Amino acid sequence: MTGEAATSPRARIGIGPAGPGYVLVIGLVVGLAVYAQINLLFWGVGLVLGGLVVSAILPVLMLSGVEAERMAPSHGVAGETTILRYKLVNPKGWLPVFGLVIRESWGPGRHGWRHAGPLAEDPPRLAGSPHGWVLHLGPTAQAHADAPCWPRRRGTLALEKVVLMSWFPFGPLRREVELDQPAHILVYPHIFRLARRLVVRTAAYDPLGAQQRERGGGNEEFFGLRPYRPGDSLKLIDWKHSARTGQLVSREMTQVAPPRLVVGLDLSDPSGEAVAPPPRRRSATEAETTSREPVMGATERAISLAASLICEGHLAGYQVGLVVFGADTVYPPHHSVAHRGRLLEALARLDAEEIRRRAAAGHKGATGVDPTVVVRLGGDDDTEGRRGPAILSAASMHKHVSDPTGGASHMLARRPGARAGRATPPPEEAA
Amino acid sequence: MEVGPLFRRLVFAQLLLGIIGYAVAERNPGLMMIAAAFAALAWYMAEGGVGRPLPRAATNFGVLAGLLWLLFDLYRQGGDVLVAMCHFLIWLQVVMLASPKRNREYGQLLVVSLTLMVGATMIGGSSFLFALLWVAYALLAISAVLVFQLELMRERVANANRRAAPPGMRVAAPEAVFGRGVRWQFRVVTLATAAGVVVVSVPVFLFWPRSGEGGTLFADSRLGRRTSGFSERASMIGAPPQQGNPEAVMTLRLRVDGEPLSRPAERQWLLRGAALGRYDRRNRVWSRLRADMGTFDRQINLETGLARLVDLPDGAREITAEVARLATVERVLFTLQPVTGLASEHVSAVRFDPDTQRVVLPETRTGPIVYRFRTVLGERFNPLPQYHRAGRGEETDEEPAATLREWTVAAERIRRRAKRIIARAEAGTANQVRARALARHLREHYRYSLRNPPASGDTDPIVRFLFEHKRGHCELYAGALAAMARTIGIPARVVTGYRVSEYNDLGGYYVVRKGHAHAWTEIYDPSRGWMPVDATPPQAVDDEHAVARGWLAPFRSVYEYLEFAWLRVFVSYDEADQRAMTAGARKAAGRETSWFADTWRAVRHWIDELRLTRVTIGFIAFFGFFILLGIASLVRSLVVRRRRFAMLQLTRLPPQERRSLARQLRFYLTMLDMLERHGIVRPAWQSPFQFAERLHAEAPEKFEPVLALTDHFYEIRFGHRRLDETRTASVRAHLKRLERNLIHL
Repeated sequence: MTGEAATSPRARIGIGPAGPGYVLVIGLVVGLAVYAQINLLFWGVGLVLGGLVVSAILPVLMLSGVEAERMAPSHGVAGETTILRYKLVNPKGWLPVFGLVIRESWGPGRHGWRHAGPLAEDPPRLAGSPHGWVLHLGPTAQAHADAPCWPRRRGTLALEKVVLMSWFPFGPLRREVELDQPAHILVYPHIFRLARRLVVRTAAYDPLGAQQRERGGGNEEFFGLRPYRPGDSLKLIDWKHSARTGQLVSREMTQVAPPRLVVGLDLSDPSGEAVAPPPRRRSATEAETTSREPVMGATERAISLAASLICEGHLAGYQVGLVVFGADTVYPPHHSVAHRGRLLEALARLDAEEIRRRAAAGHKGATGVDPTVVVRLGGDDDTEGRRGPAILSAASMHKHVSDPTGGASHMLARRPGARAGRATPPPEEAA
Repeated sequence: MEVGPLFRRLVFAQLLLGIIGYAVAERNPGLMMIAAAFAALAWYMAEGGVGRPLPRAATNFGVLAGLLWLLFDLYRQGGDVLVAMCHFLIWLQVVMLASPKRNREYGQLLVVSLTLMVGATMIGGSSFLFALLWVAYALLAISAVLVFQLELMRERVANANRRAAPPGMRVAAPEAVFGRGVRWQFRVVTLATAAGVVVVSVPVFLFWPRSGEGGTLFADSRLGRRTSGFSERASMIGAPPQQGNPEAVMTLRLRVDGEPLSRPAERQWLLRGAALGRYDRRNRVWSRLRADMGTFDRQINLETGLARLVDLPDGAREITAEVARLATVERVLFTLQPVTGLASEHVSAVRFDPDTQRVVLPETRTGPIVYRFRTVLGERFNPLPQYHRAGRGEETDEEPAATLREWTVAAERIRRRAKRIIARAEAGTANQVRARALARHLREHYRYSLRNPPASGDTDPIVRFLFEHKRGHCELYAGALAAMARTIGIPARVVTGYRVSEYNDLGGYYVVRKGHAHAWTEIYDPSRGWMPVDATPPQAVDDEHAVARGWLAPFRSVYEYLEFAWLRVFVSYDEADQRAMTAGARKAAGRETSWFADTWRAVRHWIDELRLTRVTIGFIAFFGFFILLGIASLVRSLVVRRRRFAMLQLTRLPPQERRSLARQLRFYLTMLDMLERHGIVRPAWQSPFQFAERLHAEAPEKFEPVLALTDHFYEIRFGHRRLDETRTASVRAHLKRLERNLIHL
């Protein structure tokens, strides 16, 4: 996450969700009071108008001075829940805050999210603005609120403004306070659970079957001799050599080398975009529920397949690496959470068009690491890899997903006439 | 803080209060009991231990049944749409209570309840009891709406997140985030909100323009036809219609030269409404003469203030009477005889009949009215010539119509009896003296009874009363006296109204109840005009009119005082009052005076009105001081206790457990007090353990007991241990040691 210093908040007041209903109630009571000329109804008119005045004053008092700080995570995963956390502080020593709603917004004005930000992108990066809620924030108290969001595609999710709002107590009027808090969240590609067999087939094993690395530092087979270092086990001292040389000499043993999974990503074939996956049969309900989600193109499928392979390999304990053909992205195989994060980050930032342009210009990209599996946009699968690395096609990705009906798997299917979903406005806009 | 259950409880309480309020407005206790029982049952079914709401089909059937009931009710009520609609709304609430509900249905319930309450206000808006319920309902509604807003916010946020989530993903509603003290802070905010709403409502109520034609909406409805016990007919058969009915309908406040009357509780007044000059021998009913039916009615304009009807004779003392009349449909304005002047801020004009001295409103008005009239105390004079002069342009002293001297039912027999009575009393020839002799005879030789003997055959009830049974109620006494007077040539008529004698010390006025309805006779004396003569035995009437005494009597007195104060100040507030208030404000602004001084004068005036003696004021001040002191100490102890609970981290426990632990953990507060006296204060953010650790790190020897006492604190507070004898001894020892260490180390 990257952040900038917050500027001064902007406040505005508008019609609340109960505004139209409240106006109707006022109209009803006023009409009946004027018609019947009953003093109790005139007092009722006073009460409903009093409610309107209090609704205009109380949220202003409650929200004045309330501080909010977004604590966004550094990264998220497309299609998965990303929690935006807010630290809220009420510095007033006398008035609590009730019914505080926090949401994200973009662009200038109240409806700026329609023209700027991830909801206005095509296709939208978010389906709706994240919303959080705090029932009570006491005087001089601090609270944390969570707002979940679900990024729809990889890349950078730009956050711009935090909006605090409340229509407590009666709801006819709403007070909003906007705080500029620009930040970015890197969204990793969609990650699917793949069939475990696929990862086993595409990883590289030692031809002899020994999962050992020809390097010292382990405790498997004899690797060589070296001068004794304090801390070396006595069992590893080669006493014969030590007696011969007059100096303590230790035996160095080979270490275990886990299987390697180096994913090569080949996005250079633009014709692969046109490769359509086979249609999948879906129920009407499923079709309706998925209608809001965009279907991934072949490039995104390939990137997503690469990311999924990396995650599955990491989960299986393999060393994972990444090579993007035509780009300078080369990550030698390694096994650590940070390394996996680096690979996913690289995939998240990948610019397929740039790679294709460079490939067309004859740029070969960095080399040095041989992939054990190559992910291509089209073509056929070759998971055996008899003539070199295994080949996986993005078009047949759905075959490798372990749970084809769960998670974000629906995004792998192309529906006839499918179009990108429309961003869901904030609830008050919908109202 | 669980928003959902709290909101559901508040909604149920609000609905129940709305139903009770409507039943009070309609004065229908049966409806109140049945509807409230059904509502409670429905609530128990849907929300109680069973927790199984009605299926949707049953709900729809219930609504359909309610619609049928609405049609039947409309038919039964004879077009009283509002009442039928309110009954339907009650049924709708009961059905909705028993049905499955989400926030939307709860919102609909609130709207239905509010609509019912508005309907109830239109039906019974002038009742003080209803007004009390109305205020309670308004406060409850504010609380319910506040909680509902919180619940709606949660739902809206949950919906927004659900829409933003990928398809098929289940998104839970957000957890309620709240801090310490949420409950009492919510109560304070609710009260502050209610106070703010009320503060704004007061000027709106005071200055909202009125049309000045209030209270006419339900004149024709069944509920609008509320009677006051008074009738413009006097039937000689059957029992009086309102006997023993204690419902108050009017207050009468009398003043002479601006001062209250002396010994008011010992006085009785005949507040007249209608003069009945015609006796229908077929129906045995006294009614108004056809000639009286508005032929000579005179329009009197009251917009310019006091309308003077009669010039007073020299030396006459005038009484100013103020009548506050509750909502009834009668057009008659009740007065004492003779009326010398009329005034009202609520009525722009009245009609006055000089012959019968009957004052009526030009049209029916069901709302409450406050009006004033003037009459003469003690001195009797004939105002008729002046009445005629004002009405017909010339001052005529004409005799009453010949009809008022005629009597045809057993006239000879009654005449003989009347003459015998007069002769025996040696009453002379003056009409007034002769009529009084007749009345005295009736009072002394006839027995007052509310049970009228059954009518039999063709014998007239008056004849039977005079010659056979010799017992009956006031209407028979009045009719018999009028009959006897007429047979001997004295013009006479029966008058209906109220006999007023019940004095309310608190309010300084007479209370007029339905059961106080009365009938008496007026005879005509050429020198003094029409004069009231009451032949009914006064003691018997007093006994009948006496309100039941007992321990409830003072409460009823206070309630009635409040009800009529409410009537005078709030219900009858209208355009004229607005003008008067504005004029008063301008006047006050014009002269050099302050709001405070005016308010103080008003308070002094109010205290003077109560006529409290210095001793009473002293007692009130003495006890008031101690009551205030008690309230202040109670508030202080509550605050201290709340603070102690917070220091002992007990605020989130149930009350019973909290109290028990607070007793056991008192030693920890003692320790904190001890440390505080030596300048060591535990910060609010520091836990007891952190505090003890810090002190122990600073001076291990000195603060060793703090560590031990903190251990005890944790054992009892969180470890479910009791403060048994062993621990008590240990605690005492450590406290002593700490005290010693603090002084010496």
